[in-house]
Amino acid sequence: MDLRGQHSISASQNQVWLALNDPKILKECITGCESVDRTGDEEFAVRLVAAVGPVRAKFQGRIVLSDLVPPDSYKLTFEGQGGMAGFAKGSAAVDLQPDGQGTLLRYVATSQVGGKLAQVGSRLIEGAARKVADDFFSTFEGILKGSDSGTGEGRESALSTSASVIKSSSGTAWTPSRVSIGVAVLIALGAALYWYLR
Amino acid sequence: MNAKYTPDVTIPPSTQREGVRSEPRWIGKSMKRVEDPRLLTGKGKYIDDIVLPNMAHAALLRSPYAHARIKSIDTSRAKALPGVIAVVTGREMAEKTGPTVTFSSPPVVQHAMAVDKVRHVGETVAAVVAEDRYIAEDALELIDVEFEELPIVTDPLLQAQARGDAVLHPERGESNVAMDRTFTFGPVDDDFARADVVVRRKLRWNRSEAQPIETSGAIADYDEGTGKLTVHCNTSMYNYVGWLCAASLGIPATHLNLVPVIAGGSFGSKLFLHKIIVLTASLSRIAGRPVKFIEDRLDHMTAADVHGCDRVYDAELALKRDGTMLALRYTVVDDYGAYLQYGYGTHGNTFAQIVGPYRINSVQGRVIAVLSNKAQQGAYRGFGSEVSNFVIERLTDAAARELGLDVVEIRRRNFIRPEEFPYLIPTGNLYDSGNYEKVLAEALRMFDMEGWRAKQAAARRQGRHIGIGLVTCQERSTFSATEFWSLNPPDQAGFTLTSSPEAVSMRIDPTGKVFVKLNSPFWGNSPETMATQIVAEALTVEPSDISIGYADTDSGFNGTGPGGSRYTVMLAGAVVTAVKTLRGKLFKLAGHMMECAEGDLELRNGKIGVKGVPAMEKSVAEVAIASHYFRLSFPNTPEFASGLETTAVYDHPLTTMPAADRSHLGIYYPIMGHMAHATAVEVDSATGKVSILDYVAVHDCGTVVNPMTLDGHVRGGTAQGIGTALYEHYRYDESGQLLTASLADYHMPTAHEMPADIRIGHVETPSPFTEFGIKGGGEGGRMATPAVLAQAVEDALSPFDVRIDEVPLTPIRLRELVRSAGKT
Repeated sequence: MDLRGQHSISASQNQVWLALNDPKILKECITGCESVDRTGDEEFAVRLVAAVGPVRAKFQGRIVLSDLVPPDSYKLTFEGQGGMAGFAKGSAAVDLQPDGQGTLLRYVATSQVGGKLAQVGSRLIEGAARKVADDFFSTFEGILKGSDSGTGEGRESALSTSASVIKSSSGTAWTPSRVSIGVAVLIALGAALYWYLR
Repeated sequence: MNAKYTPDVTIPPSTQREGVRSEPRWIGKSMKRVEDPRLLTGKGKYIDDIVLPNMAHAALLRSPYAHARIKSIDTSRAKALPGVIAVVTGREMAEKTGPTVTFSSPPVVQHAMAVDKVRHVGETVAAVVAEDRYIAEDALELIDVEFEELPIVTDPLLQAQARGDAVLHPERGESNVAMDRTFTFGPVDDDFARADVVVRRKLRWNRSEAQPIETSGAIADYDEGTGKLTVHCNTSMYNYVGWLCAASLGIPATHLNLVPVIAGGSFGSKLFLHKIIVLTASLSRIAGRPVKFIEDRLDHMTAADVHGCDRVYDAELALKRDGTMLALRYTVVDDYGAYLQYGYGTHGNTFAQIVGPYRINSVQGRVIAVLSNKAQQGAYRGFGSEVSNFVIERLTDAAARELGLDVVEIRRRNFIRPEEFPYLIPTGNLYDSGNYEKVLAEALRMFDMEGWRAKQAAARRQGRHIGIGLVTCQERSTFSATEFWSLNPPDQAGFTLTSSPEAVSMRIDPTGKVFVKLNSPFWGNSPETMATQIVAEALTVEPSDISIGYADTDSGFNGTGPGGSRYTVMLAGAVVTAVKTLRGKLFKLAGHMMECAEGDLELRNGKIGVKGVPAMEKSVAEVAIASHYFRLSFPNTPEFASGLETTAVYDHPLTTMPAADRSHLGIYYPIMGHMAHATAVEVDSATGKVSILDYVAVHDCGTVVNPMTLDGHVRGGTAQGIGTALYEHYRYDESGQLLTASLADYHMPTAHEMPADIRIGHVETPSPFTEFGIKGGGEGGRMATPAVLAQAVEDALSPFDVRIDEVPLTPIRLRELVRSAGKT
């Protein structure tokens, strides 16, 4: 099925882009993400815990990136096995663009869940996914605002953001990949599920 | 006026020995159930109550994919978990255990555990046997399976186009169509040609399933010393399928004993249970320990192999302008799911009463059975005939609408009349007896039609939507055997069995007590009560002098089991034979004791007495103790051999063979019950909620043995019919995922959704073919409820001019109909 979504974030595209590249921020924003390991140039292994209603499972997933156009857009596919809980699959096309003072994040995706996730969780997925997505963006925006207000935590964040800028300016593939992982996790197990069964 | 078409079927003479009793003592009484005390005090001993020494527990890994190749299974991590005894894959199990029984021909091969390929979500991929179920479930998480997904076709109407990897069973043909055959019974084309009007409807009956409180389970115990397997199971037809399970296990029938266990409800869902028997037996043999497996609700809903019918109809009814029905013609696509255990039995069943209670002259049915990546169909109360009842009644309602006739009047005009019985219908099946006008009259007496019409009009003025429904439906009973294979291609008919016997063993002990062994189990019906009442009636003893038990397959004889509303009729037949034998011996013994001729004796109140001489009599107990302990009081000839014991078998009272060319299917389901259901409902057009305001069900099941237990069947069946009609739906998405696999999403009626009272009436038109004139009534209300609710809801929404063509009538569906009518 086709899924669409967009979020308006009150920060510049550059800020959003850089913040999405901050592993600490990602860890804070995405609940349940345990690890991300690079397994190839454009391939990553992800481990996370997902809970949908009565179904709670550790997922082992694989993300493959394609059609990278840094820093504006890319495509990704995600596949996760949750053992007895079943599986989740997703693919998405994502783009960022300026939106007045802020940034618009848009995605078009397809997703599918199977096994117990579908059998027992289908009615609950929408609520669970909505919460994952809402939590992500509220935490994300809170962190960006925090960095504006110049608190200690914000300065740390700003420092690590500066580090990101330095790294990204050196031209490694690290930056879009990190963005991709953040969005992949978000979409494949969060916002994508929100649309499931709608 | 054309002559009535009658199929070329000869009606065999009746074998009835006991007619309707003028003054029955026990038959017809609402005796409290013999089963109740232990069930109501929690002492029933269900499968979950059985604990064997050293018993281990199994859990099953189920496929999350609807269609996939199993590329690899790594069980090493699971095997390493402390407490795990064995981990078995489908391929490993198949080393010693073959496919399970199927009536499909050519066979659709199914294994108790998937081998190399899964064909529906929930299919078993591997099993863990462990010290307890907790460990077994935990170990499932440690099994690593690599699947390769295969394409699937989900639309039943597109299965003919499935090719390549989308085909479930390539060895059986190039597409997923298992069968596409047209059955013509009588001059259909001529009848359509002479019709004034033809009504046509496309109708959809979605999947539902029996949900007994207790799921299916088995405990298998392999004795390594003898090589013998003992399996305790809550199956229904153990004497029928025991040897077939042994064949699957590759052992002689001497090495498998099936021990029946009382069931916490079945409604068809525990009919064979061959898969669970073979699976646990196989696991016990591998683990060397007794192994228990009982389904949890998710197991049951995704993989018990008992989903109900899943049909798409395009049906036409030809009539004269005055409402006279002439012919029925339809194409039906039935989505059987991944396997085909009972062949096309549900359509054979449908043909048994395809004209309903009406004088329809000819019938043509094109049956397209398709396979798909869903759980396979099994049996659910009605076994297909509940669907055709819905179709016939919807067409009848459509005709009434088209012709401007009253829904009651059009039915009355077409009834088969009392003097026309026994009546052969075009398909070859026989209706043994009936009085449909009488049943209708009783329903109309109980249901205040005029009063409800007045209330309906008053409600309309307030903008409320009350609807009224009345349907008249058949309830074929006493299933025989040929429906399982008669629709198979005649040159590949498969196992063409023609028997469905039922036996009892009966013994009178030295104290005159009567011990009865049944060869079929308790599955939520009242077999002990039925046996007690019929034995008490036939032998004139007291119910308290009768003890009922159940044989296992080692000690048992012929038994087909309950199902198809057959058990009471078949049991009565066996009891009559057994009592006749024992009575003969009692008379012989008593005649010698009282020095009188056997011909002068009669049974009266538990005594053997000389006719017309009240003082000359011996109690059954006096004769029994003499027979057991006083051999020298009798002549030294074989007929006086010690003891009183007999085993009696009763064959189906009325079965004939199908025609070689299937121009008719023979007689195979002739003990024909009938029902009229009437209801008043209110539909909230703003929310789509349906409330049942009044419900009347009048049934004619011939001679009633126990009105109270029959009422239970009618009420329970009606509740299930309400579920099928309004709520229950197994919904699969386009990738074959089952989205309604818990009771949170698969909605069942609760006390809140039930009418305050289901008011039940009885009419008794005895069968001339069965003992005492009994007909079966086990499938109860589900045969009529969806049809009557569809009519009532359509009537309620008549201001919106909607047509009800599909069940279940969920609030969403009703709202869609109201919205599309443009009057929100």
